[in-house]
Amino acid sequence: MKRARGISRRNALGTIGAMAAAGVALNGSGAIPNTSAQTSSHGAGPRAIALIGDRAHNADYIRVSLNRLFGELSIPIDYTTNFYDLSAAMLRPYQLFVAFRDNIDTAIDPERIGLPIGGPSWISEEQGKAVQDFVAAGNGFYSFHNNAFVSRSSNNYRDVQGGLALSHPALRPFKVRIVNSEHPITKGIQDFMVTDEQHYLIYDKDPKNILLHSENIDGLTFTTTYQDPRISANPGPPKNWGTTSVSGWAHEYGKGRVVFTAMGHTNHVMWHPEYLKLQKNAVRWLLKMS
Amino acid sequence: MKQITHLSRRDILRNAGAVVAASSFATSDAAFGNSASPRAPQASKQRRVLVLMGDRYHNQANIRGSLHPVFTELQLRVDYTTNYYELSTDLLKPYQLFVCFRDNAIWPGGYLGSDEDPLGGRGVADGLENREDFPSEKSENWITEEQGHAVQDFVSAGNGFLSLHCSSLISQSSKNFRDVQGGVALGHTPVRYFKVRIVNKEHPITDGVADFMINDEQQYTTYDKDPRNLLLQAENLDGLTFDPTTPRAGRAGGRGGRGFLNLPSTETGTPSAGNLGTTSAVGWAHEYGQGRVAFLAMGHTPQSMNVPEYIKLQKNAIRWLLKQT
Repeated sequence: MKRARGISRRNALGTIGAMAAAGVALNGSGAIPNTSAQTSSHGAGPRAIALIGDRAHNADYIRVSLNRLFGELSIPIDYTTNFYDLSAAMLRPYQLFVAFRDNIDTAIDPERIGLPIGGPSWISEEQGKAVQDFVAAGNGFYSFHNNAFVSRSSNNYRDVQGGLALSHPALRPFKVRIVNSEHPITKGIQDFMVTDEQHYLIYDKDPKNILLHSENIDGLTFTTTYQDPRISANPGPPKNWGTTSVSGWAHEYGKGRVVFTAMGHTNHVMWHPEYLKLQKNAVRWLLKMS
Repeated sequence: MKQITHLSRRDILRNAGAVVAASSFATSDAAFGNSASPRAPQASKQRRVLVLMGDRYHNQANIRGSLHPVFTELQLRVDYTTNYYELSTDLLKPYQLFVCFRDNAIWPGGYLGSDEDPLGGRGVADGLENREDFPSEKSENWITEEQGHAVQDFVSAGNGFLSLHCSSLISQSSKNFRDVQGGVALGHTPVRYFKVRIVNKEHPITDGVADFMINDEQQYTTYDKDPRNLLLQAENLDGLTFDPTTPRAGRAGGRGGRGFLNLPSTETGTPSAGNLGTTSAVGWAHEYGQGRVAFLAMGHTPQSMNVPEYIKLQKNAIRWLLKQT
């Protein structure tokens, strides 16, 4: 995995985004978060690592979606599904950490004939701190969709992510509104309709950092017993959170930058033209290219 | 990930299977398949397993969830990857067993669905008003003959290869892979009940395993090598048959509107077989060079992966492939 020997045409295609941006040829091990020994050969361009995939979000569609985003930006991206590998050492070779998975370690319960069950959370506070340190040192952190659930399980992660998910209704159409069109991320982006899970979130930092709202324009609201774990990790009385939710933000954290955007349950949402534009702006901003 | 100076309790728990068997501490970099690791030689006693898993229709999270308890019980150190493009001689080098649980298709042009509910729940695109506006989905094969050759070399050098479920589709796309796997999938039914019969009870893999019912995709395969290597046969006891040339009726909404996986007969040289009847070959084991190969066709859902008799088969197969039996 360390040394690339032969590079097949197909390998090269598999990492086409990487090839475009890197000064040297990359090998098929692009997705292995390797140690710093390898980074020196990668040239000056930024490089992203994506932690993807959980039981309700197949790594396959996430990779397909992100490959296009990063391919069109000509930024190399590596993928891992190994949540237990998240650490300061894993992040070291990268300038951008992309997280697109929830907080649950899928467990299969043989006592219930293999029924997938909600396992324990996978993240440790040490891992949350690794992300804090990574961003504070000047790097970028792009958190997608259900990744805001990870902040339910780690205070450190929540601190850098800046908020957390409460819960969400099933897929249904809603409108994504730009609430701050002055930000480099939202520049030139129109409000847009999607069919997606409308996630309901709490943002902890300055509300001026909020970029996006989602609104169910049919007037459908969302009621949940999930609450801020600072109040209680247990379900509370049902609360109606209304038609509108916070669905995107961007803030500085130490010397680094953080973006969260809530849409992304499907490949077709990820590739919604306005949303894809917004994602590109976000990646550029995170890497301080804008 | 090179120097691990301390281990958290969590790291240890995550790698419980590894820790049990390793004389030196296994660490969380186990998943990197790091052939250059200075610690590799120390672990020479410990058998290492690489799992390549996950595709559009088979979520890696469920595959890991099903397989990990098996490896843990067998005290094997296991690494997981979803990065199909990394399959190579170098990748396989540190391992004694290669487990493959993914199909032959990638979908770089995207698709309407997201994760596929293993029990065939409603498609996420069903609610789209403008479904027909989306371009038709188009898959590509990911495997190269060079990668197929890497698996051939790995096995013939004396290692093991466990091919699970949809991995038999890869043989549609690589002659080298088919040569070592020994067969190819022709297609499969939707998830429905069938009986798995042990047709060779003398083999270490089937030792102590009884016939069992399972609710799964019934896969129809062609096995290329000596028929005496066949271990398992599936039979639909209700008399339901399968014809890979006939698209599945109904359910236009889900699964991208596709029917069965139809074997393009011109690509593999296998003639379009028409109706394949109620019975199909769903498990085999053979020697290949100095190594061993086993294929087990069931496993579309975590529920079917966890049928008790099937777990026994998985364990027996892994032990046999590692020449422990």
